[in-house]
Amino acid sequence: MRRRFYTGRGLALALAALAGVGCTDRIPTAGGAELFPGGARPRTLEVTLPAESFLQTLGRFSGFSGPREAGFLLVANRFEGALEANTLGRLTAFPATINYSQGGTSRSDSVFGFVQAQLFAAVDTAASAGTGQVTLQLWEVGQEWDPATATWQLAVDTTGGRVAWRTPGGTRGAALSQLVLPQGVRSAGDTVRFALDSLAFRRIIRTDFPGFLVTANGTPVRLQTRSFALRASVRPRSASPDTTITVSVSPAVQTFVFTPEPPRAESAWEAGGIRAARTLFRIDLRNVRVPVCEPGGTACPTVPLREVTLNQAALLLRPTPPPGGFRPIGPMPILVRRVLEPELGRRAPLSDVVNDVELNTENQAFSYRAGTFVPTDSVYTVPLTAYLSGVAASDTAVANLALLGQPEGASFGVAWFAPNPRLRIVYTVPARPSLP
Amino acid sequence: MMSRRLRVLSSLLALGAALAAGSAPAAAQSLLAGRGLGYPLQPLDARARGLGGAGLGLPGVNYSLVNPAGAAGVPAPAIVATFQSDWLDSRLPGGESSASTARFPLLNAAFPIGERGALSVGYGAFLDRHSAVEVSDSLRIGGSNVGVTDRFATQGGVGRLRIGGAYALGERLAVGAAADLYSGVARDTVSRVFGTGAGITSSSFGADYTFRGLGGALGVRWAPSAALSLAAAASAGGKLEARRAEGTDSAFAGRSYTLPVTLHAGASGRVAPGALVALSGEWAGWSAADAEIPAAGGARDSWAVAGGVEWDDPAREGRASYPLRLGGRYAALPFRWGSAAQGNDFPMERAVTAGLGARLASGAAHADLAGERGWRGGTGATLDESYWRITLSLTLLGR
Repeated sequence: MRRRFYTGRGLALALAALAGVGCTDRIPTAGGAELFPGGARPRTLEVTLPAESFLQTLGRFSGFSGPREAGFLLVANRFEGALEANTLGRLTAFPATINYSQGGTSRSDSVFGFVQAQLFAAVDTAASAGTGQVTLQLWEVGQEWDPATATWQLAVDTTGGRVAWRTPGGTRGAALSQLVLPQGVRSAGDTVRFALDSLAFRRIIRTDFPGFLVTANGTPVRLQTRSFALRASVRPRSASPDTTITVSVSPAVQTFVFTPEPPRAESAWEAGGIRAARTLFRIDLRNVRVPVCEPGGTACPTVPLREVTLNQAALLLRPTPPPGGFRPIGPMPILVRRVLEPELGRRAPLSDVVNDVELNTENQAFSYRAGTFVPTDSVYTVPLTAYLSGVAASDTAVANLALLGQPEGASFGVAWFAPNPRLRIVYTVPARPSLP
Repeated sequence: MMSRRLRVLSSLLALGAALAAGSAPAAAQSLLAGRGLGYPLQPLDARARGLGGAGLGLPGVNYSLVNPAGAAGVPAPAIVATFQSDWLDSRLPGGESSASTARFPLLNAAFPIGERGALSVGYGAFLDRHSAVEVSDSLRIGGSNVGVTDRFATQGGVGRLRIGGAYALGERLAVGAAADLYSGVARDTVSRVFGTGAGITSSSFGADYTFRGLGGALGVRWAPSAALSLAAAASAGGKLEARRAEGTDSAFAGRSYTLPVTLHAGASGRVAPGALVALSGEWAGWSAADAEIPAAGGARDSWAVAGGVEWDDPAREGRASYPLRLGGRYAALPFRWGSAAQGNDFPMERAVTAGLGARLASGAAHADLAGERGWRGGTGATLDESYWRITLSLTLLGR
C-alpha cells in the first residue's frame, strides 16, 4: 500500500515539473505582410497641430526666485549692452590660531606670517560669455550691507529701513586685487583666482571685514561662478623657517546684485531665469480630430484623437532671444509640470512633472527626456507622450500645465519662446482584427 | 469503505483540478492554428499516441475522450491526465520559424456506478488557435526612417467538456453516450513596436472572443474474442457560436460555425502472447464549415488512419510491466494555408511514433510516455512543418 502511494506521488510530481517546463511557450510565428488578416495591419501617421487647435495661454508669471536662491554667483559688464552684475560676499572667520605638526608633535600658534593667499572660485564656463579682455576687480565693500536684501540700488532693504548704496552695484572700498582675462571667459579656465598681497590678506581676515565685492571692467562679459573661498599659506612664528601651513576658509553668505531686472515679454512664453519665470497654458484635446489616412488623399476621414493610439506627442517650442543680456547661454533644464488650480494665476500650485522619462541604462536612473533646453536649438521639443496619451483618453481631455525652469532659479538666463507652440503627434489608427 | 473511496476520489479530483489549472496557457502546435477555425487537436493519452494515435479499440477500459463507451468496466474511480509538448519548425516561402509548446490535451475522470455502469467527466482539447504573424518594416516619421515590427497574434482555443455514461451489456459489449459542451476563448492582438531610440511608444490592440457550442457522442466497444477488440464512436455538434467579448475593439459582430460530424472506428488484435496490433480511422466532416470561412481558406473533410504495435511481457501478467510501442499516422488536415485562389492545397500530416509504458502497483497506476516525429505539408500546401512531440500520461486508480 505504501509503495503504491509513493509511486503515484512521484509520478504526479514529475508531471507537475513538466507542466512548469511548458510555461516557456513560443507560439509559431510566420513572417510576411500578406499574412496579416484583413484590416489587422496598423497604420501610423504623423500630424503637427497648430496652437489654435489645442492650446490656450493662461498667463506668464515671474518673481519666484532671486540671487539668494540661485546656486551661483554672477559678474557682468555691459553684457549685450545692458546687463551689469557684481558679486558680494563674506567668508567664514579665519582661524585665530594655526594648528600644525612638527617633529611628531601637534602645536598651535596665534601669531603667523603671511606667505601667499588667493581668493578663488570655480567658473561655470558653459553659462558664461565674453571673448574680449576683461578685468575682474576685487574690492572691500565700502559700506554696511545686508546680504539677504541687497540689490543693485540698495545696500539694505529691510523693514527696519532702506539704505541705498553710495555707488549702485555696491560701494567700493579699498581695492584688494584684480585679475586680467585677456580673452574673457576663455582665459578664465575653470577657476578665477585673485592673488592677495599681505595687506589685502590682513584686511580680509579682519573680524570686522564688511565683505568683498567683485566687479568687471573692459569688454562686455557675463561670468558665472561658484562661491569664492580663501586659501592662504602662512608660517607660524613658533615653527621652523621652512614650515608653511595652508589654511582654507570656506565661503559664508555670498550673493550678487544686477541691473536691469529681466525684461517681460509681451506675448512670448517665458521659462526659467533668475526670477524663475513660468508660463501657464492649457492643452485642450476635446475637439482635436486627426486623419486616418495619409495626407493628400481625397476625402480622408478624421476621428477624435481619443480613438487612436498616441505613439509620440511633443510640444514644439520655437526659441526667441530675450533682450538685455538675459538670454540663456548654456544648457538649461526646462520642464512641464501639471498645474492644479490655474485660476489662482501666479499662486497656482504646481504638481508633478509630465515630461516623458527615460531610463539611463548605465546608472539605471530615470531622467526626463529632452528636459534640457540648448540655446542653439531652433526648436525645443518637450516630449509629453505618456502624459498626453492619458489626457487624450480621459473624459475631460484637458490639461493645465506650466512651462518652467527646473529647479527654479538655477540659471540666470531666461528662455523665451514664440507664443504659438505646435503639437506634433505620431499616432496609430487601431487595427480591428476579426475572426474569419 | 465509503469514506476511503471519498478520500481517494477527492484526492484524484484535486490533482485533476491542479493539472487543469496548469493547462490554461495551452499553446499551438502548428502555424495552421491561425488558419480556418484552428488546428484540430486529439484528446488522446500517451498510450494511444505511442501507437500512432490508434487509441480506439484497445482491449479493456479506455479513458480517452474519443469513445464514451471506453470507461465501462472501470473497477474504481480513476483519473488520467496527459501532458504534451511540441518542438516545431515551420517553413514558408521566404522564411522559417521555430516554436515550442506545452499543453494538457486530456484530463478525464471515471467513476464506477454499480457493477456495469460508469460515469466519466473529462476535458479535452478540440481546436488550437495559437499562432502569430510578424513583419518588420520602416516608416518615415519626423523626417527619419524608423524601424517598426508589426505582429498579429491569436491565442486561445476551444476545448470540449464531456460528461458521459457507459454501460457494459455483458462481458464483451459496452455502449456509451456523452454530452459535449464546447467552450473556448481567443484573444487576437495586433501590436506595432517601434525601433529603440526613436522615443516612440508601441501600440497594441486586442480583441477577445468567446466560443460556445453543444454536441453529443455515442460509442460502442465489443470484444468478440479475447484476442480481438473493436470499437466505434460518432460525435456531432450543432453550431460553434463565436461572440466578441464585452469592451473588445473588433469589427467582428459574432457568427456561428458548423461543427463537424466525426466518425471513429478502431480495432486491436493480440497477434502473439505479448504483441498487440491496433488500427484506427477517423473521418470528420469539416467541409460543412467550408462556406463559412472562405477568407480563411475554407475547409474540407479531414480523415486520419493510424496503426501501431505494442509489446508487453506476458510473463509479467499481474505484476509491474513496461510495454513498448511503435506506430504511425497519416492524416488529411481540414484547413489550408492560404487560399484556393492562391493555389494552396490542403496539407497532409504524417508521423511515426514510439512509446513506453509503466504499469505499476498491480495496475493502479499507469505512466505512459510517447515520442513522435511528424511532418505536415505536401505538394502545393505552401507550408511545411516538422515537429517533435512528447506526450506523458498518468493514470491513477483509487483502489
